[in-house]
Amino acid sequence: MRSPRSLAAGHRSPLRSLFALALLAVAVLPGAAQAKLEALADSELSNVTGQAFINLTTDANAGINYTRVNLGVNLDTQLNMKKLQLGQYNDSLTRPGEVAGSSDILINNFALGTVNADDSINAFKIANPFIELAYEGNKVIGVRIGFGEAKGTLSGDISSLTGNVPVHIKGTGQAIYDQANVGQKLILGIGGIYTSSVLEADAQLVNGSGAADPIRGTQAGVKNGDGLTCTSGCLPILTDAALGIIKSNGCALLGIQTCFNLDQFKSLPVGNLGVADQAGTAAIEGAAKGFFISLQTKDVAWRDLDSNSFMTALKGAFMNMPKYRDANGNMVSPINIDFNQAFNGIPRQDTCLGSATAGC
Amino acid sequence: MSALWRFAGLALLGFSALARAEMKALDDQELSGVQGAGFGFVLEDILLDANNATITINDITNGSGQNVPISVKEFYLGAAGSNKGANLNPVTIGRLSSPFTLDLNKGENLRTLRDDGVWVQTTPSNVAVLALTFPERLTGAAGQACISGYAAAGSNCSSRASEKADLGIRFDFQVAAGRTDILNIDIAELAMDGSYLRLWGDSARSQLVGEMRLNLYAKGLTVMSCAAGATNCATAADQEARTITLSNMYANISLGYGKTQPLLFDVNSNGQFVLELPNPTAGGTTAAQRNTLATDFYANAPRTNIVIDNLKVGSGNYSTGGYNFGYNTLQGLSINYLKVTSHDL
Amino acid sequence: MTFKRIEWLVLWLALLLPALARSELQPMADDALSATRGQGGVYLSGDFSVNKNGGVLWSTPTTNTASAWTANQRSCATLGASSPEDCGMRLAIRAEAAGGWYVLDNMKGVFSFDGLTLRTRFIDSGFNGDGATFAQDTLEFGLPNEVKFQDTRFTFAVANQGGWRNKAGTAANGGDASYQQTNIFSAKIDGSIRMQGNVLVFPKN
Repeated sequence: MRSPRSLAAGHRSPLRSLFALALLAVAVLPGAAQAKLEALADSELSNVTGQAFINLTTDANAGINYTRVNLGVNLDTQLNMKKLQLGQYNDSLTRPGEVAGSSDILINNFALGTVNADDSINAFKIANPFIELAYEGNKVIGVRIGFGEAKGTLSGDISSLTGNVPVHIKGTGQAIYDQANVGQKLILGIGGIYTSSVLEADAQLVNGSGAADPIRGTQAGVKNGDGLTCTSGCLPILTDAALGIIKSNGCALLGIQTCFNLDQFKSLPVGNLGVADQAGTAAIEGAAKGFFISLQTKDVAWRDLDSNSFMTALKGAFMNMPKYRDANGNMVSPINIDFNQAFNGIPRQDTCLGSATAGC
Repeated sequence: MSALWRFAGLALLGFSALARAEMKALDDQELSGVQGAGFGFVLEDILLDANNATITINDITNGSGQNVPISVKEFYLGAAGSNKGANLNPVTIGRLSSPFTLDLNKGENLRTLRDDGVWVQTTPSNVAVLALTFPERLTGAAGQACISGYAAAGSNCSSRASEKADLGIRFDFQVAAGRTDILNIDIAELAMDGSYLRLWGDSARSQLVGEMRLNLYAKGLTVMSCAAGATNCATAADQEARTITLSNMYANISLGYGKTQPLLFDVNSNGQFVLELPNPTAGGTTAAQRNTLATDFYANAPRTNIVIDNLKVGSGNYSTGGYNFGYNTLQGLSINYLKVTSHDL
Repeated sequence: MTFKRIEWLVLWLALLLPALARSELQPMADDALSATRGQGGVYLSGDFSVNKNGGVLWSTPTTNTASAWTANQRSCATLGASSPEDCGMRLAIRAEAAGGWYVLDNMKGVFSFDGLTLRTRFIDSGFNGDGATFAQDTLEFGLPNEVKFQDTRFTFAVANQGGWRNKAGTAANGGDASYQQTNIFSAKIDGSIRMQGNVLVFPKN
């Protein structure tokens, strides 16, 4: 066995060399840090960090400044809520003549997306949501939450809606003939409109007398002075002349009802559900664009991200589900129904898992 | 030097002699007898004031990829009644009988308060759950009003008036040259009773999963869009015109129901995050099984509610440039399926 | 071989201790234990710096152009800054087998405090009446009245690999074009934050 003294002596050399190495490393590092730093052009800086899914953009129009937070997310969801209520207030200045206790937007048993019989999900798809603030100077005059793209089934018992919700009704004359009495059928026949004719009409939020009423509307229908157009199966010239005369007035066209209670539409298709979504693309094929819900203290113009133009939302709570340009470049309504559905309503689709269909 | 080495060597000899008393590992049976236990903690006389610090949030970009710095100022936490942070006093958050907890416990021992006041189990059994909880709620006579003077928010909180805090923060967004958006948020009488985050490992998915609830009860939440004392923001009238006031507001945000719908959060191979709430009936093969799973989910899974008793902008009067949006609510939100995937903008 | 006296003592102790250690430690009876009271406490002051001058993984390059960096170079400058900066500590967590990573990146800075106290405290009064029913010992962390920060920062990000790779670098320079990190946000703190109060910690069964 080596003596303790020589043991200790032997221990010194490895420790000493380790210490020396450490000293050397410390001496080298400051040297590296002294290499001169050079300023860099802005264009090269974008390489530094990764892209982000969130960004902040600004906008300006007619004295109003906007700040928008964009979220680069794709959302697939199927959800139910017992109640969505925005703007429950009585104010004789901003809501004259409205029913006391009513709300700007009230939807009970609201649901997005549907459930199949085997409890698999048909999700409501949303892309690129954003939140935007409108400023007049440094005063916030409006806020909105919007979706770049939205597609799916929206269900609910709609009590009242404030906003811009165009509905397009398209179908054969059969449904209209079913509603008509003998005299009305005669007039339709003379005008060249047959059961096989394809007719279209634009509906919007109206009140009971057929006037456009986007505030706390409880009905959707053809407003006074609007009529039908025939896109096929009609006699040319004659039908145009006839339809030119036949206009909806007071919620009736030729005595046939043209205003429909919102609460009978228990499930509404948003976007073109007939177009399948391609998993490979980030965009949602067939989606409606420009959907938002906003709160504003006065009428505020918000930019439609799809058409790039500004549309005005009314003061209060407001839901905007506008017409949008589809893949073929045509302006289409987000909700498209046929005349049967218009007259008879649309039953609620199953939005609950298990045996229930609604109210879960 | 050599003496020191010799001493050390001898000391080592001594320690090794002591260390011969061995520790034995507990066998499985003994381990299973170990009950989870946790820490409770109470923040006594706490006061946070970051007025003398500069906090900046970076990496939020604008449309051209440039950084939009967000300055965080006027961050404070103190006792209720601070008049938006002007008179800060210390506050005790959490009670000795209902503290914050950090807990490792079995899933079958944890409970959540349902909207109707019944405690139910939401976490799966036979897993070890790591739970971080805020002061838990209290049912029965000892329960406190969650928002004073507003019964609709419930009376099953444990925080009394002395345990409710005032919290404030101000964000300055330098959105464009010459334009700074300011959001000055002040929350009065805040309580977060019943909030929690629970995490456990899901062996079938080979993943960390969880469930969470965030409860916010506030007597008042104001958002002012200017900096007090700046141009157009000096007088009380100017400040009021630029303030959004939410009175008597509460939010119960629930994500995940551990037994059949855990919250999944992962990052995919593209470096994007994915947040998912799976279909709770996915575990059932027959319609009867799925019905049972669905019934249990709808009965016991916590739901999301957001209620603002009064939302007012400015004076609340349209003729003076304000607006009163009245009562706003989103109630009983239950998510059957959710998948959120981020992508680059 | 000569030993000093102290070394003889230690040697004998080393030989004797195994004998001593075989005599078992007996637990104290509960009433004897409860009579023992902790005295005093701890008062801490500290000055911590994390990666103030960079860390061991990456050396600081001369520019912020990622494509020009050689192997093991990385600059963690704020987006839009002109000069390169040292990098802080990186912590990456994977929550799923074969999944991506949550990253706390570029954690660095200096923070100092004076007056963090630690002591045990028996509470049986106060707290608006809760103290009397509580009647237990707690561990009291007294917060320092002021915590000072200097260029303290961190970034929260998600990435598809745990370790950082230079996405813009060539393969020869250790680059990896398949690496993707998305910075969610970064925070930077300078100045002092007043934080007073106590954190009371106690076991909860």
